[in-house]
Amino acid sequence: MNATAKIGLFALAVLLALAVLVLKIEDLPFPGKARAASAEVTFADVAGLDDKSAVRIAGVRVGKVDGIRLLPDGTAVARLVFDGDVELRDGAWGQVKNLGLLGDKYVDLFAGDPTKPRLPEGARIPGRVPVEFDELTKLASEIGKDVKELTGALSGSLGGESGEAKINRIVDNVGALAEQLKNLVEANRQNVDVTMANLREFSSSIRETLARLDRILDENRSGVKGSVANIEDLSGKLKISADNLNSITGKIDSGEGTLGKLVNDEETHQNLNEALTSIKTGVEELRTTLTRINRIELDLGFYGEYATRTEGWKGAFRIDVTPRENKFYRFEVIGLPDGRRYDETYNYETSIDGGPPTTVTTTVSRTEDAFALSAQLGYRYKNTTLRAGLIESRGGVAIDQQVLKDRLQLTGEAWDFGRPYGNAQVKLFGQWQTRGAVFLRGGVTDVINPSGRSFFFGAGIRWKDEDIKTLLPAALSAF
Amino acid sequence: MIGLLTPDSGTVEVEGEDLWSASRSRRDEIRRRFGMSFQEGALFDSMSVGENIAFPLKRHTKMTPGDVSARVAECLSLVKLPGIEGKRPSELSGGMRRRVGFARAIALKPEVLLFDEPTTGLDPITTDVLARVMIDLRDRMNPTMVTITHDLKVAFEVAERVALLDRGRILVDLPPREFEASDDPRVRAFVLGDGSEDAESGSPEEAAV
Amino acid sequence: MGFLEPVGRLALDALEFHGRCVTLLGLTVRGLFRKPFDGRALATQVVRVGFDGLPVVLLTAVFTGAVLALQTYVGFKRFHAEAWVGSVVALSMLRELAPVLTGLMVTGRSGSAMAAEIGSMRVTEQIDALVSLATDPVQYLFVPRILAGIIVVPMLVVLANALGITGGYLVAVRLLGANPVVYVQNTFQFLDLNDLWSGLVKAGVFGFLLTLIGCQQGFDTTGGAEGVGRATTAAVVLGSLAILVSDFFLTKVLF
Repeated sequence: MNATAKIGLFALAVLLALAVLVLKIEDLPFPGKARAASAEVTFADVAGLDDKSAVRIAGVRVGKVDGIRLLPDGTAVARLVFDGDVELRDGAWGQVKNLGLLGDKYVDLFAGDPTKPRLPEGARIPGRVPVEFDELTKLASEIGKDVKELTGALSGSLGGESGEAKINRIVDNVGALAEQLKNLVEANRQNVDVTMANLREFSSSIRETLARLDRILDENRSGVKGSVANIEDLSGKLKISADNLNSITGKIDSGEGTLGKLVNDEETHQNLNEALTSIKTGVEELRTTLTRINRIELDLGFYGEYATRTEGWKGAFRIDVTPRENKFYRFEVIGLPDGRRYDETYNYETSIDGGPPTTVTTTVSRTEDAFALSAQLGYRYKNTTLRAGLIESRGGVAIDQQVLKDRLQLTGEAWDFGRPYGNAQVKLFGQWQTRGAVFLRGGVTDVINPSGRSFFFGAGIRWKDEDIKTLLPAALSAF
Repeated sequence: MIGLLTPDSGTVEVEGEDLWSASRSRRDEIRRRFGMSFQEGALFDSMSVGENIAFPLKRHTKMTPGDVSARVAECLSLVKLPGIEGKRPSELSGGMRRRVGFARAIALKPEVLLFDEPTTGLDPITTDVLARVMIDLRDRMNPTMVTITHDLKVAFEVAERVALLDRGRILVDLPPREFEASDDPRVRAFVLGDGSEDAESGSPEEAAV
Repeated sequence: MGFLEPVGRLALDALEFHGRCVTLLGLTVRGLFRKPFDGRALATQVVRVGFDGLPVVLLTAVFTGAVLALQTYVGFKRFHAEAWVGSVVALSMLRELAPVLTGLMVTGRSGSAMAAEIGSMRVTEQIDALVSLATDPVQYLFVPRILAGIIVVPMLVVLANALGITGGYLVAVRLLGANPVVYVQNTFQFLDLNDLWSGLVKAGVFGFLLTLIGCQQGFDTTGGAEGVGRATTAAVVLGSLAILVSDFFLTKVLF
């Protein structure tokens, strides 16, 4: 082969590679190829959406973002270019979503009502603001506050107009929370939907109970007006309404865990009981709670665990909220190495207008997919910590024992007692805190299931309070 | 003499024109009238013998390829090495390489031929062959030839005039016979190879014209 | 004051090196526009630097892409971001690794060869012979080599890009079991044509630098065979350094 032929071959190969790269990178418009359909979505907040992110309808990739720009009114417009022909109709809207926990953002499109007329090419459709975690926290705390205010109002006025308004507000807030929580988690956890449904049952149950309460209060009012002799009757009825409230909060508290923790402020629960017996304590408790929250501590961390049997990595992100020295709330989002699918049956009770309690049974197909949530309440007494609540989306308990001046922590955890296949999950491990933020851990997981038993080891990082506090000012200001 | 090195002092004049005050292209024009042969031949070893000799022809003339190869053959026969165009310089002996160097130097029919140490480091027979080639070239082409050499035998054989250079100065400039008979002590030392007489004069060089 | 001397000498050497490079560059640029333009010499250099350099450059690219995929996969798996291996491989190949590694390989292969060739021409008086034949050695030797560098290194980088991405793809899909469609999609989703062009601009600059330094080191060789060895080493060392240092500044300017 002479020099000219070599150069020819070389140049040809280079041109070919260049052509492939350029065409792959940029979808150059070929003459004859129809111009791609496009649309624009306005967002109040694109939440970190990037140019060239995917556009999906019902999870199916249909195009990509082709430029994001700011409008003079402070909103953002993302231009979407579709790969094929996408029919957007009246009522279409989009929102920014996450693919996975750390995955990329994408635009989730709802194509609109198929019976409505088609939108023109390049039409501008509204975008919805994605639900943020801190908004949820804010909402949950508002509910807690409302409940407190209600008890105060209830005790103070024995059912004035304001008490009633507040009750309605609680109900509305619970409903809104359920909606928002649903939006947040629907991408990852279908099973939460079921919980949501349950919660809606509860809220309707609350509404019914509250209607009854209202009637009782009306009766009371006439009773007070009418005769002192009715006082005994009044207190009896008051006790009934208190019991009703207790049972509502009890239901929320135990109600499938996930929401129980998010909705319920443990203290509020206690305060509710106390307030009903003593008005003064209730008000004071409210006051101390408000001051105490300024001293709240927030720890942030994440860790990974490698199990030798499954050879899979489990990664978790953790938030510890410590309102008091010996008490903390723990929230974790955990990426599990492998997902499973199985059926599960739910029972829940509801009673309508004082009628006999009815048991409703629902069977749903649940997906234990790549993500699980933990939400626990922990108490520390000297070197021992007890935790209870959700562990990896299942009810469970745990005990931590600190030894060697807190450097080493021995932990036993047990959860998922109603596991359809096999015994409950039991996990025993030790965790060594280095002098820095890093910790190392290792132990045995799924101890009492021979088929699942595995050694594991892992490492993680824990950041203490101070820096993090500034990161989540919204969450704190919500209190 | 053709400006390989920029002079520290003094001027180089060719027919009254200062080489170093001339423009670059003018300097190249002047250089084209010179042919220079280097000590070891300095052939381009990336080319064949023929390409070496053809190099100045291709760069400085508009000759057709046929004319070029004819001129190459002619030059090679002038140095008594006909028909080795296709060989690589690395295949040649030292003497042959120098003769190819001669051939390259005369390719452009220069008016002045410069030889830098044409015979240094060669055996007496090869030296003799080279001297004869040089005489032959002188007779056939009749250029001005300047040879720098330490070899007195070659100098006396080839030259019409012999000059002794010492530290950049011409000490004497005489015809060969008178040079040999000169009683200048520095010339005597050089001719007799007696270092004791003029130890600090360094290494005088001889120029044959 | 004795310790100051070596420092001073170092500074002077550095200045002289840069001065030489700039001078020779000036001569080269002038030579570029002066006749005769030697197309055949350019073609020879393109074959030597480009075509003959293909195996080493492409092998480097394939394995770089493969290792990159392997390493990022291991890291990304820990936080469930395996899907982005393709993006990382493609981005780092196009913007950084292909130009720099190709530049370094060509320096080692061709920059050193140029220094050795021109250096031995210097010590055997072939460069003087060029002058005596009224030929500007800078024009004759530098112009085709430096032009070849500027043309050929970006060409090699285009192929290195393609092969690097292919290497990453093979490892991710065949070895690690990534979904081929998703991998390809993610590879190109976040790429911009600018990523490609900036890599090629870099490559052109690297090609220019490494050939200029290779030629300069050869041209300024002194001291026989040993000097040629020194020039060859210096061409590789200075060429590589020039590539790495200029890479930083180019990256700052280009992005």
